[in-house]
Amino acid sequence: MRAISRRELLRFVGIGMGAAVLAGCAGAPTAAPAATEAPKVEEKPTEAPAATAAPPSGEVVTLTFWKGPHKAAGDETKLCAGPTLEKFMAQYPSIKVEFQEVPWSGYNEKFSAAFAAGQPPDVSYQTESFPTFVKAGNILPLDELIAESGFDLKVMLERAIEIVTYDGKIYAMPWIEGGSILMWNKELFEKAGLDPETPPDTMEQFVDYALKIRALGDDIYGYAVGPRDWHENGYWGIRWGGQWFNKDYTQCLADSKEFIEGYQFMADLFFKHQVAMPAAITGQEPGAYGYFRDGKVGMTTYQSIVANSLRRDNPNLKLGGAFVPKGPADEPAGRAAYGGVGALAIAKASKHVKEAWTLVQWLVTPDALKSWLGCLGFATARSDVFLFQDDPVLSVGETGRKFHFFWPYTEWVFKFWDIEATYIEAIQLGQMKVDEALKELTAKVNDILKEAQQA
Amino acid sequence: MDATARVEVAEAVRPSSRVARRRVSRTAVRRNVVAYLFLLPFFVLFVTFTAIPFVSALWLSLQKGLLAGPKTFVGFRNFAYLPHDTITRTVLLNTVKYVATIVPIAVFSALGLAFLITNRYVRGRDFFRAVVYFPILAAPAAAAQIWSYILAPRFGLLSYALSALGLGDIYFLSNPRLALLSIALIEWWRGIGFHVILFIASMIGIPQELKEAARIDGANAWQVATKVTIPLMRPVILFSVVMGTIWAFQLFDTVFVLTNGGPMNSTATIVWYIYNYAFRYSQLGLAAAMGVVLLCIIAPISYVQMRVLGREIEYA
Repeated sequence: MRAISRRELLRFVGIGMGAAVLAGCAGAPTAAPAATEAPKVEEKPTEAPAATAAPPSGEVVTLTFWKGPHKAAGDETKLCAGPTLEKFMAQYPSIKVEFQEVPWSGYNEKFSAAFAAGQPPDVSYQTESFPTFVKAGNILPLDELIAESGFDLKVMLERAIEIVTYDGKIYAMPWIEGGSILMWNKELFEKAGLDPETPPDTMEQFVDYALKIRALGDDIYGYAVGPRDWHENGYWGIRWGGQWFNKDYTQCLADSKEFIEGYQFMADLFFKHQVAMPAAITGQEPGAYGYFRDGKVGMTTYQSIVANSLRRDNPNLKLGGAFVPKGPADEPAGRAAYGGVGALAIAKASKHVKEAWTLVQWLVTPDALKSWLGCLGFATARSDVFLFQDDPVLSVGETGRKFHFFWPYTEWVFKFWDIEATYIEAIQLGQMKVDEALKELTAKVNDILKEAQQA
Repeated sequence: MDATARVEVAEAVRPSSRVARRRVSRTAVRRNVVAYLFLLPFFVLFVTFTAIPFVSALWLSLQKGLLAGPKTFVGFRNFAYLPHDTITRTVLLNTVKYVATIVPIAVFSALGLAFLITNRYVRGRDFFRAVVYFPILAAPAAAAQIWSYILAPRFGLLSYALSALGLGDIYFLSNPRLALLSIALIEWWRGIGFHVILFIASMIGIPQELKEAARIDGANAWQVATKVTIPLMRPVILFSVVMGTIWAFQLFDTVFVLTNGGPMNSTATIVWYIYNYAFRYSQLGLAAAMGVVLLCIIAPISYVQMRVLGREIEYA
């Protein structure tokens, strides 16, 4: 390889320096907007049956379907997706579905690359990164398909429809509605002299129960949560009556009195009452999940689907599930917990839109939901389908939908989560006081909101 | 042949016309065509996987837009934004701290290990050479995962050993003051083999006569090492330092797997930041701009290193 001469190197560095100087003179950058508008739900008389889509030539159309894996039940493809899609293909012999699990760690990369290359999956499972693809023009609006097929949107949770609506258009079909619940270890409850069937209902009881469990031993804790778990840590302020944002997402309100009180309560669990497992421990392997699974923690909060993972990883764990204990705010905010929607989208570049829509419609039918989501342990985004009425833990995820608060599905939400996680972690590690952490957090989040507005 | 005669010969053989020059040029090309053909695969790969992405990255740094969508030209706005971003300063500082820690430690310790392994009194030199080199063969993400269990509080191997010594739990990866140092320790373990093998190869290549001459002149082992061996290894040490610095600036895998930039951004590095902007925040222009900044940091540092360490060695 030819060596770079000194002159060439200096020229190269000079260009770099020049760029930096010019950059300093440039104007302020702008970021993309987050446009959400109330959905217009068309009133259709009946729930749409899965449409037929037999191509005139009789040939078999192959659809690609990508989804991030949910391992709670084990091998999703083998146990849940495969059998469900077999049923679909039996019902629609002219459509073949090639299902692929895309690891969460490279989810955005893989989709971005596929969209950029013009070869995206026909149908994809979308979560919070969804708005990015909508804004980039990669996702097909479903309004026309919905209207043509007579699909009855009323059967879907209205809030879930709002999540997938941008500029008045529906870009995906809500499918999963996941939410967090309180989980407790019944055995530790019993050992601590508590009724194993009765979880704490208020925050005062929560502290009281946690103290009793903590008294069981030096390595037993009343409560645990991951310090960077932005979902589980994100609701203390809401339970105390505060809100993260104003209605139009132009201002962060996390430095409010309610938020400071809520997060002070959280900090007290670590430092005043010392019932929470130190964040320095849960921040490393095996994490809050591992310690709870291994019977070292009395209570935690997780998405209800995690119950299936816990049961698989430790079949001896006696698990209880309930709504999150109520904070000072009125319900539903007083029991606020993480909630998220997973939706099914069709790529604009799909060559088989009609068949893809047939699949999407079919996947939200009660039978298909039972076959796939019932297998996983996820609640559905339909307001009339309850899959886990016989399961005391999973059913809480379904009946507690009103307590699930969704994060804004915007392009800046990942940046917001990173800021949120950093400051809440600082509180839990004892590196910052609650009020100063929330003040700094608010300022930084307001910066990104300002960028979003300027775009 | 004196100078005048040389000039005359040169004048005589120099083609006097364009036609003649072209003829010489064609002949030269024909003579070298095989060499060019051998070089062609390299150039194709270089242009495809290095030159085009490099130019694309520079172009992207001047654009704004999502990863998979339309982009607009914004000039140097992305560069102007970087100083205002929430953690730009933190990632730059972390990366510089990391480089300043890992490079000298890696190079000096590798030198020490190389001397030990090549020592004629050491038995099983090949075994030690293999042991030192093995970690490089481990996939970075897999190695990081293994270390996450070694460093885990309470049940991790290292924590267990420290507890046995009465030191109690040390939160290697969740203490903001220790996390970057712990990452440096893991990266040292992973990368040390490269430096050691280079140094051993270089040491073996130094003529024994030079060392023996020094010994005859009364030099002890330390003096032979510092006055003869190390100065003669300077080009290899230079290569080691430059490559070590470049790799250190590119730290990503271990951070991504072990801490994801935490706790409290204490392990957030430039490449981690680039990844986040490109794939999590979907702001490709900003990611590319940060990549250009990284280039502007690495290039002058490497240049200075080459100037300082790459001077000609003269022996009296």
